[in-house]
Amino acid sequence: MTVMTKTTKTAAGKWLRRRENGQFEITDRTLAVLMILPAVILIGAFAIYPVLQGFAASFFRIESATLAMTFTGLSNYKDLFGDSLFWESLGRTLVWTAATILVQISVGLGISLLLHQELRGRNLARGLVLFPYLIPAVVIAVTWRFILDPTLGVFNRTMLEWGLIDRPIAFLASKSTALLFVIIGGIWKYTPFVVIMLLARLQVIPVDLEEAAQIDGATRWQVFRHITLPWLMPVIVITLLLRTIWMFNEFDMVYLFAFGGPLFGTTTLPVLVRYLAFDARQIGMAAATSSVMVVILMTMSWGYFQFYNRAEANLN
Amino acid sequence: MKKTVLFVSLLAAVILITACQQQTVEVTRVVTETVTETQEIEVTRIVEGEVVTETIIQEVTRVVEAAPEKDENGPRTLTLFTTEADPPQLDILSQIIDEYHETNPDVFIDVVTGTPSTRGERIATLLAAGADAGIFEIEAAFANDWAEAGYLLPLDDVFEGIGGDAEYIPGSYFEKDGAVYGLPYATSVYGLWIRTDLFEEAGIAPPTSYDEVLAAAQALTDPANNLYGISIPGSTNASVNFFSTFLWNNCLDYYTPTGEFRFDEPEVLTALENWVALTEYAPPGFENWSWGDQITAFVTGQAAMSVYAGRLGARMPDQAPHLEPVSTIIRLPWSYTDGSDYVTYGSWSRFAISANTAYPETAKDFLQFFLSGDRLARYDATVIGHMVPPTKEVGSLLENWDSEYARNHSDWLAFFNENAEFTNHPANNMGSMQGCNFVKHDYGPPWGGPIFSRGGIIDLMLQEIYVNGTAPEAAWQDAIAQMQQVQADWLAEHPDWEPPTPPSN
Repeated sequence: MTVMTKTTKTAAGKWLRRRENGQFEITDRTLAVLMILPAVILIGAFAIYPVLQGFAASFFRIESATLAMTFTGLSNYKDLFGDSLFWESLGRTLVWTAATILVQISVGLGISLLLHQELRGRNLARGLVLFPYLIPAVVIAVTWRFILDPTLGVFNRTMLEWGLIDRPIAFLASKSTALLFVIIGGIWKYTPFVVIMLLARLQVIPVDLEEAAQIDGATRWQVFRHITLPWLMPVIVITLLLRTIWMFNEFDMVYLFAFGGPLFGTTTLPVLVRYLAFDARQIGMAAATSSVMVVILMTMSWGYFQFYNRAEANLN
Repeated sequence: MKKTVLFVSLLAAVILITACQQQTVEVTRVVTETVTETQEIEVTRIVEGEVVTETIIQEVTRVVEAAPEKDENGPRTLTLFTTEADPPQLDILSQIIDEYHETNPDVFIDVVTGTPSTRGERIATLLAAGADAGIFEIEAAFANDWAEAGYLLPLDDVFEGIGGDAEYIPGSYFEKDGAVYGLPYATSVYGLWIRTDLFEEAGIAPPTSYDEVLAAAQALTDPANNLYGISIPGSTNASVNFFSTFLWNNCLDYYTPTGEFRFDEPEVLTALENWVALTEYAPPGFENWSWGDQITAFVTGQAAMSVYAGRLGARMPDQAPHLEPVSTIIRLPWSYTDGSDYVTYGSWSRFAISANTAYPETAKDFLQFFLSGDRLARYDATVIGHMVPPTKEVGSLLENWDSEYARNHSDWLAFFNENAEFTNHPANNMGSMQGCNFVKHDYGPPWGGPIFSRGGIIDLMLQEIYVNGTAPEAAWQDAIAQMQQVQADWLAEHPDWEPPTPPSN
């Protein structure tokens, strides 16, 4: 049985309409608004409001004991951009982000292609490869600190026994090597995420496409270059986007490895924000640093989305 | 379908609005009143060669807390904020709360945990918003500002109820303008842990002065056997505190009690050079070592001496039982200056109550219950020797505590109790060295954040020397310039600041 309902527009026709029987009903537009409203409220309260509050705080000098605020205009930004520590931290953040992501993507791609093959023990290997991603950052940091300990650590001990060094080296106590080992730790922990993402995508690439290409005489490289890679590209871009945001904002791994030291040698922007807010007790400066981070990340995200749209268009 | 969505949305909106609505709490404001009392003071004078003792009666006016406006009956919930979040500590705290609840069935206490690094800002946010922060661990560096702003409830009656000055270790509680606002539950007392077996083998007596500790560190350093003379942490979350003990034990300080700069005195450079000389005998990597690494260095046999508090000893039964009989703790032998008072590192952990709390009498009653007798002893015994109690009663209870550790090391526990009154913190006591005398006044330099905090100017000065090999004098001069700039900037931003009244010597 089909019931035909005739409706007429009322004065508030965009949101409500009157049925023929005189009752009101909500329009599709109202329904749509109501459905997204809870999400908008939650995102507004827990994401947008804190960002705006942080941005507003960046224009004040805030007494950490009483939170009394004095408007100082752009002076926090002026001080921040005039401080070499900010620029050095930004540079280290970019190095940390770029280095970890490039290696994560290349190694993750290699591992996912390997685990996509019909190999014995593949399921076990797929499970094991996830292991570093499941371990909490604090456990990884403490373990690596032990491994790298100059007198107790297995790394120094092995190098000494193999004659590669003649005395223990304090890798995390040197400005030239501390960040390198933090980067290695970051790659070790987060590469499995890339593997999961790419492996999932590999499993949905139509097999007949690859078979058709092989029948047409395409080499393995050509299959990879012209079929596998274009299919993977949208996921690679999304993974790049997510990992860039996460690595840029990464705090715990970087901080717990060397506490930002020695001499700020492993201080990235998130670690700097912590230092300014809770150690130097310059809350306004910390808010200014966070605001700059938001701007950088939004710019990077915009760039990635442009790239993603192009990758999707190419695939279609 | 649309009706259902409309209904659910309206319901959600109502719930959200209700949840977001500010809770109405009946707040009992603490009312103070001025009371005038008479005091008898005995004065002894010499009049024409004769000693005359007179009794003078004088009127003293003081502000006291009036009776609460509200009768505190019925179900009441208090919050207790703590950063002591190890499972055994929370377990004991929970037992104590249960015991209190048994005799006060209407009182419920919610424990909220946090980290020390964010404690100050977290509580400050609540207090500044006028919220009921309940009972909380007070941030020492903020205590003066909070008391001045009226955020804290006076706790004089709790203090007296526990035993007052006769019970409390001097300097352990926080007092401002004659009122007690912060009551302590523990401090850590730093000392020098030494391996007595290594000293005996080398024929060296435990050091009592700087020259002796330097000589011992040199004699006991044996890299071929992975043994180093002394372990000192060099990371930016610990350096300043350890180095400060070296200054204090040689009659030096960063400021006077009223904020005049002292760090540029030439003797400071000598102290810095002497300190750096000690680090020559520290294990490789100490430059980025934190607190925990001090323990590791000692329990793994890497260090013949290690600067740390009681936690190192408490870890030994589990991690290095073979070292227990051949280890002991002694006072920091840093002094090369005659007549200097002994000072060590440590900061009293204290509880305070929000002035805005809904149930001030209940909060005070619970605090008195918690901070006295067997309850505090059980709490501090969770890390025995590291959590050194503030009262004689609890100190004595712990020295005779029924545990294997206490029976085996009552001398260590006595050491911590005896030295608790000499604990000091650079950010909490401005100008604590008056000449060579140690005088605390719980007033930190208000501009001290960028200087004494983790990664502050002093930490970085030391790391410049340790990591980059910068000459101590150059690093010191650089630190002086930065410290003076920080102070000048702060004073320019706070033209109304008045130096505190210096404590009497």
